[in-house]
Formats: sequence, structure tokens, C-alpha cells
Amino acid sequence: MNRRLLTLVVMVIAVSFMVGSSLCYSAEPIKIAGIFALTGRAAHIGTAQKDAVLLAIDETNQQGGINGRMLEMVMADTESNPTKAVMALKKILESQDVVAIIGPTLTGTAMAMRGFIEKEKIPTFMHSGGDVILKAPLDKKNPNSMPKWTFKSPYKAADAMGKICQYMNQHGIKKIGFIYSNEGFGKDGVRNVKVQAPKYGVEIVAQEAFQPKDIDMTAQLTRINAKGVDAIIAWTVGPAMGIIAKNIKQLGIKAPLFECHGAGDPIFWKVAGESGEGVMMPSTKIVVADQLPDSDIQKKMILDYVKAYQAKFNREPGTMVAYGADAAFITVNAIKKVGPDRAKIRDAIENTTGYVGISGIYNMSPQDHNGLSMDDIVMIKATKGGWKLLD
Amino acid sequence: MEFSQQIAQYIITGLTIGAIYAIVAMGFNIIHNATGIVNFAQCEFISLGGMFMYSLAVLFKVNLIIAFFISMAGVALIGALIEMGPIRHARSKEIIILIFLTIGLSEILRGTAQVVWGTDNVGVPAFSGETPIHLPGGAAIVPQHIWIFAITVMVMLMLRYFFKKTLMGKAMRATAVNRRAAALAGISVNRMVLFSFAFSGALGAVAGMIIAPISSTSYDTGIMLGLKGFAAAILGGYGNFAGAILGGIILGLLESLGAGLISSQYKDAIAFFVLLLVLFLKPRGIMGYGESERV
Repeated sequence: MNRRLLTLVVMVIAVSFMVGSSLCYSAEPIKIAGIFALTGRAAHIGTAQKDAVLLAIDETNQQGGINGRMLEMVMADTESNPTKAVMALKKILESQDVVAIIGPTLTGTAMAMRGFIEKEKIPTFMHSGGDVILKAPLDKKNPNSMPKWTFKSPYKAADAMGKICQYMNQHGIKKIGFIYSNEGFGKDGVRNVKVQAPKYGVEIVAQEAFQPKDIDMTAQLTRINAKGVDAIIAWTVGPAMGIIAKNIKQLGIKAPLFECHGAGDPIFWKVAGESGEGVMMPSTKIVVADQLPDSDIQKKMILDYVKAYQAKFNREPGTMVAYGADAAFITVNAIKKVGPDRAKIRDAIENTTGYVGISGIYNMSPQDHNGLSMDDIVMIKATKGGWKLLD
Repeated sequence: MEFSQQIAQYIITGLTIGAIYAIVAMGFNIIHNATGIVNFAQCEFISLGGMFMYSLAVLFKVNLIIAFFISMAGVALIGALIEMGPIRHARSKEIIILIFLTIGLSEILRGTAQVVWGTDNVGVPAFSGETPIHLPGGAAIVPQHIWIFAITVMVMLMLRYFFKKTLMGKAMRATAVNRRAAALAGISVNRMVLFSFAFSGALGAVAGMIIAPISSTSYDTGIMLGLKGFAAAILGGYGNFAGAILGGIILGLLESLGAGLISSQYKDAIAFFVLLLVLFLKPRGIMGYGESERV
């Protein structure tokens, strides 16, 4: 009796332990860090990207996760501030075991985080617009110290700028003024426009800066206009996109306005109002998916994604969503392929070729941690609260 | 474009921005005069004004004029509640403690606004269209600029009348000069402090609302405007009304002329360099004389 009871108890314990441990095993999620500008001046971008990443993770989890393990995003806010971004990153790495990082949003925060990421060796897919995050050496004294673990999903700013200059060349625009926000992304734009404009026979005759939180740029635009320009390029994201459009209308400047590859977003209309009419910009196809020819291989997947996004969040996705989604899907695909191992994930992301994303076809390589080309970009024009595809 | 036209444009721009700084500076001054503290929640009054206006005018389609006054009253009420709650019941009346209290309150207000409205920047319709008006000098302004000037001037005149002519205004000035003497003369000091917070809330809201159609608004737009307004108040002489106007306009002009004539990259640096220079030469600010001349 005693002996049988003991056996029973041992069996019960053994069984429950097995069940318990297997439950524990299947419940142990794979963690990805999501670091976005959820507050501060780029909050509208960071929030859209966070939603895009969440949607990708939800989709994966609904399909049963990765080998029975769910994906979980550990989220942090950079507050649009480089110092806070690094603090948030360190806090996550100290307390959680993450296999990859998605984000951050702004070029300035990305540059601040980059050195730490490379030291810790975590594959990181950034949403930042500036090219410096891939191009600038990690150690200023050693030009060969290129980032190994850092990737970025938005178009190379050089390509986006090239696309604008190419468009200008085709439409007889020769003299331009360049206005930029005086921080990471804007300064990156200055470097790019100086390289791209001459390639397409465009001359920069005026160059002006403003502070990211400024509420009026008429002084700078007056100075640009005095030089008699054919067009103006504004390189910034956030409320300034709209303020510049309004100031240009106010000053009666006839030269058309071009903005950056982050402007094609519903937020543009919120900040620009009716002054946004006619502004042109390079963009992903997400905002003009229904105007694409049926032969476009991205069309169907973009339309499906837009539908899923609208169903979940009940609003229109903008171009920022595309960058967030692509980064998330490529990372998730890499984890699916090689499992939760940081080094293997990095290699898998770097070997991604021919991936049909929303922003374009990603062909990564050790030399190119972005993988998009100028052909993936379309030019669009802000028209009646929406967007028109230009050819 | 002619050089004189450019100068005209820089001056118009500087005056518009300066007018906003001046209103914000006045808000800081009123509370300072009543209590001796710097109210950092002033920044949030500006954001809240803009966001209330957005909610009423854009989301609920209320008439702009009605929306303007409701928002003003709403933020004034929040200002009053801040005084009636935390400020009045603080155990310590040390100035430094109360200032820290306003920093905390400002964080609470901003956090709440972020939860309520989210983080997007939103536009507010201009009070009377966006068709630019071309002035004889060659400069262009939008009707909203005229509104900003007109409302600022009106607010200044009303405040002047209130403080110089009405009994309550005089009582508030008396409180500012000497709290104890005012109390002995039968003035309810608590009530005066309460009014100063409400006034300050209303002024912040006005600043936030009149600039919103130009710059768009969000839960944290007030921070930058608040700090610039604070700088304007110091430049003019902290606590001095005429100084607030002067400080605001000088700061606005410095920024705009600095960006237009010298370098847009260093325009804030130019403005703040002049601010430091003034404070070095006149530590109390341009119009600051001393304690007895506040108000």
C-alpha cells in the first residue's frame, strides 16, 4: 500500500513536471526589442512604425509563432532623444534576453545607439532615414570599421535625393534652394544633395537650416526665394513639413516644393492642411498602391497589407508604416529560418535577396545593409488630401 | 526680391513670433507677481490651449469663436485647479519647493494630454482663411498673423485696464507688492493667487490657440514656446509687463533677422547670445528695476 502510494506520488510529480516543463517550454516567447520614438518630435513616425511591427508580430503569432514559440516585442521609447535612446537600449539589454532589435526611428538616435549595438553584437533593423548609420565608420580613425550588425529599411537617402534630382532634370529644373532641419537627418540630406544634384545637372544656389521645433521658416524661405530658384527641396520630417508648405504659400513663392521620402504619410496633410496641395516627394508605393499597374509584382501584397492594417488600426497607413513593416518581416523571416540565435539571424538578414517588401525588392549583401535601389522609389504629388503617382 | 522687401519680411515674421513670446511671458509674470514662483506648467497651458481648440473646432465642429472662448475658460479652470489643489495645500511654501511642484504638475499634464490626444501633430483651421495679403513694403502675411497681432494687443490693453482701473486688479497688484500688508487691508490673498493662476492659464491657452493654425499643435508644442517665452520674460525683466512685451518682440526680431541676415544655422545661438549679453549688462533685464516696481 505504502509502496503503491509512493509510486503514485512519484508518477504524479513526474507527469506534472513533464507537463509543466513542456508548457513552460512552449510558453517561453522569443523576444525582440522594439525601440521607437513614441514621444517627442518624431512621435507620429515612431507610433506608426510600432503599429506596423506589432502587426507583423501578431500575424506570425496567429500562424502559430516560430516552431511553437510565440514572438514577443519588448518595447522602449527613445523620446526622440539620442541620450534617452541609449538609456532605453541598455535597460532592455540588462533585463531581457532579446534576439534582435527593430528601430529606432530617428537618425540621431540611431547614431547614438549604433556603437553599443555593434559592441553587444545584436542584429538591429533600423527605420532611420539617414545613410550615415550604414556609411559612417564606427571608429573615426579607422575608415574600414563599418557596422556589421546594423541594417536599415528606408531607402538610402542618397537614392531618394537622386530620385528627386532625376525628376528635376527631366522637368527642366536647374537652380534649387535646399532647406533642412539642423539635426542628424537634415545634415545627412545636405551631404547627399551636394553629391546627387550635380549628377543630374541641378545647381544648389541657396542652403538654409532651421531648428526641428521651429514654428516659422519664412526668414529662411525669403532668403532662398531672393536667389531666384526653380524649385525648393525641404529635408525634414514632422510638423516642419507642413510649416514650410504653409510659409511658401504665404510668401507667394511660385517655385514647386519637394520634400523627403518620409513625407508621404497622412500626417503630412494634418500639418500642412490645404497648403500641402502640389508638394512632390519620393515615396514607397504604399500610399499609391491602387494606382499601380497590375503588372507590378508588389501591388497585390501591398494592397493586402493595407487592408490588414486598416482592419486592425482603422486608419490609412503612410510611407513610415512600410519601412516599419519591412524591417519587421525581414527580421521575423530570418528568425524563422535560423532560430533564435543572434549571429545566425544577422547572417540570414544579410543574405536576404529578392524579398518583395512594401518599400521595394530587398537585395542585401555584406556591402549593402539596405538592399533597396532607386528603381524601388516612386515620385508622388500631394493632391486633394491624397496622393497621385507621377511618372 | 529687393533687399528692402526681404528686411520687411524678416521684421513682420519677427513681430508675429515675438507677439506670441510676449503673451507667454505675460503668463509667467502674472503668477510670478502673485506668488514669487516660476510656473513651469505654463508650457502645458499653451499645449492644452491648442489641443482644446483642435478637439472643439476640428473633432466636434464647434464654431471657431465659441471654441476659442471655451478653450480659454477650460485652461483657466485647469490653472485654477492647480492652485486650489497642489499649490495651496503644499506643506512647504518654500519658493523652490513650489517651483519643483510646478515641474511635476507640468509632467502630469503633459502625460495626460499624451494619453488623451496621442502624439500626432494636428492642424487647426486658420481663423479667416490662408490667402496671403501683400503689404505695400513687399512683405507678405497671412490673415492669421493679423489675428495674432490684434489678439495680442487686445489682451495687453485688457490686462492694463484690469490692473490699473478695476478694484480686483488693484488688489492683485497690492498682493504682489506686499502680501501681508494686502492681507491686513482685507484682501483675500488666496483668492488673488487663485485668479493669477486662472489668468495665466487663459493667457497660455490664447498663445497656444493663435499659433496653432500656423505651426500645427500637439500635446507638447508648448515646451519650446514656453521656454522662449520664459527667456523673453527674463530679457524684459522678470515680472514686468511692459518688459514682457519688449522682451518678446526683441527675441522674435533677433531670431528672424539673425536667420535672414546672418545664418539660419545659428539663429537661436545669436538670439541667446544677445540675451546673455543683456543680462550681463543689466542683470534684472531691460525693464527690471527692483522689487517695488513689479506689475
